[in-house]
Parts: sequence; C-alpha cells; structure tokens
Amino acid sequence: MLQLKLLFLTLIWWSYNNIHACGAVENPQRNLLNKGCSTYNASNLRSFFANINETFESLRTQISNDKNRHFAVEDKARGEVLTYAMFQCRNYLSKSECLACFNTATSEIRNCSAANGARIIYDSCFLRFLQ
Amino acid sequence: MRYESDGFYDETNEPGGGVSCGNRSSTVTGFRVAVQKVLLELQEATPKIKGFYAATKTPVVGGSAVYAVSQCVETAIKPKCLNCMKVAYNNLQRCLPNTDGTAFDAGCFMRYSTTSFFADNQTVDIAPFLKQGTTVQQFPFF
Repeated sequence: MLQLKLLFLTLIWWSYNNIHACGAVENPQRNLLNKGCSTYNASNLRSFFANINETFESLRTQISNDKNRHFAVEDKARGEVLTYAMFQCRNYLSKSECLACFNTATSEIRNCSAANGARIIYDSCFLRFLQ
Repeated sequence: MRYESDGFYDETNEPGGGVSCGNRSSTVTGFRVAVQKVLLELQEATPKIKGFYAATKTPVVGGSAVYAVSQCVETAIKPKCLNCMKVAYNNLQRCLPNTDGTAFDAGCFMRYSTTSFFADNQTVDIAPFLKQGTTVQQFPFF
C-alpha cells in the first residue's frame, strides 16, 4: 500500500516537473523554468496593486544602485496589507542583464493578476512575492 | 526588514522546485562521474561562501569542460542552503549523463552545462571551502 502511494506521488511529481521542463528556449539566458500563481486572490485590490508596484520599484532601485548587488528583498505595509518580495539574479550577469531579467520577470509575474502570491524562475533570475 | 516573517525569506525547499534537463546525452566516457564530482563540490562549498554563490569550470576528458553554477538566496541560513543544495544535487542526477541540467527551488539554484554560460574569468575558487582529505596540516604560528 505504501509502495503504491509512493509510486503515485512519484508519478505526480514526475508529470508536474515534465510540464515545466518543456518550455521553449527562446533566449538561452532567460529560459523559463517554473512559474506559479497562488490560487487565492488578494482581498483589497487597490492596496494590493499599489503595494506590488512600490515593492517591485524598491527591488529595482536596490539592484540598480549597488554595483555588485544581485539580490534584493523588500516588504511594504499598506494598511493591513503586507507584501513580501524577493529577487535574485545569477552573479555572472552584468548589471544591465540582471535588470533585463528583472523587467521580464516583473511583467510576466503580473500575468498572475490579483493572485496574492507568485513565483517565476528563469535560468538567469527569479522573482517571488507573497501577501 | 522582517527576516523572521513567516519563513518567506529563509524557506528553501518547497513545492514548485524541480529540474530541467537538456535532451542531448554526452558521449564522453566518465562524464556522469566527472559532473557528479563537480556538483558535490559545489554542494559542499556554496553554503560556506559569503553570498552563497559559486561558479566553476572543470575540464573533462576529450578537451571539453563543464560549467557549473550554484546559488542560495542570501537570506537563507547555512544549514538550509546546504539542504537545498543536496536536493538540487539529487534532482540533477536525473539529467546525467545529459550535457545540460538545471535544478531550481524556492531558495537555491544549481546548473551545469558543457556549453559556456558565463565567462572564464567569472569563476569562483572553491578549493578553500572543500574538506581536504589528505592534506598535510600546516601550523602558521611556527
């Protein structure tokens, strides 16, 4: 019984990963590895989007301002809404390559619409947030 | 900054992590073992390196080389980085002996390829962070 369970779990895991491994390679430096949107929506949309914008802007500023910075975290509170966000690019990227990946990641993650959390992982960088 | 906040900044392994493998198999004899050694060394060294990042280029038989990169989120703590690296290493076993593999998770990243994806002068010397099995102990105070 336990073995059947394990086999089942392995199959789920296997198929899950294969779905995500099939992304077409358009830009080898920005190959999409994984994307996930939370199935829960933010409750206060006005605060949510304002918070997301501010949070992403702060991440961008942190990455832009420091020559050797490849990692940034930020949390912003707006009323009862608190947003956590994290961005990292691989250290071998130049500043402009890192920011280009950041731009791709932020515009792509906005396709999660009002989901209260999301992550996106590329070869070159990743971005995630949670509210 | 709220580093203690509900684990968002220091969580490392979570659902959504996985692996993406290239579809070409290496024809080099001993390729699997050579890459395993490279990745094991990255797994060991990365949590000990400030900034949790390493990049290496290792020659393999036949004149080619393996490029490899490993990285943890900087807000992780050392043991969590190590755990994440171990999971990444295990996941990458699925890819071998293919020429490319990338493991990803909430808190870390590990990738190898026979195709260069960073410049040769961007490697990190990880030797000081590896256990030296048979090295003679040196006493600098004498």
